[in-house]
Amino acid sequence: MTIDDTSKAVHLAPSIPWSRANALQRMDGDEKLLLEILQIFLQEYPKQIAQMDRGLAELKPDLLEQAAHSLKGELGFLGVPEIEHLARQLEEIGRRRQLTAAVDVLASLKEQLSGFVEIIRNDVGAEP
Amino acid sequence: MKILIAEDDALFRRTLEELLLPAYELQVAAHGDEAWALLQRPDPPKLAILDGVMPGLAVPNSAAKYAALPRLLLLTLFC
Repeated sequence: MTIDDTSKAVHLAPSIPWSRANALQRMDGDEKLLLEILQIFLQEYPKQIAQMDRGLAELKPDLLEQAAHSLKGELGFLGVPEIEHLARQLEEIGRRRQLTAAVDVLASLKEQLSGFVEIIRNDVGAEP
Repeated sequence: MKILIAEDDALFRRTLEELLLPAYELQVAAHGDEAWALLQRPDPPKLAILDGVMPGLAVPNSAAKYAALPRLLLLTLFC
């Protein structure tokens, strides 16, 4: 995991960058708002992951679809398209009610998300 | 001008609030039922920004209900 000072892109994994600068631009350059939004994300994403887990455990694809939809929007807004794509896949899997296909995608999502979460925890100065 | 924001996602709700304040007077709802109740009050918002897939506000089912309200401009978001 590296920070490229030139591009302001934070690399979560070799192929997964997060542009903090782009996220800040979406918030009209409001640094305080970006930090607040990142803190909200840190509070909310575990609930969405838990709901997706519950959807799989209880064979309720609607739960998976709803949580993946929310997470997809947030990740897209924060500027992490690679992880957003995984959430989009899970939303579609939920919509098609094909829960067995969700297991591997959800595992990948959790793995990628943990890298992003680590970065933004450092950014906002939050405890793990 | 008074604007209604109806959005169940806390992250987007907060962002919209921050970007629109203090230029507009905001009413904020996290559920469709709450949004509908706010629009029934005297002197309701003239513009409503609605999350089209939030609980209690499933567009297109709710669209006609909202569209029938007088003097209300709707901006519906799907994402």
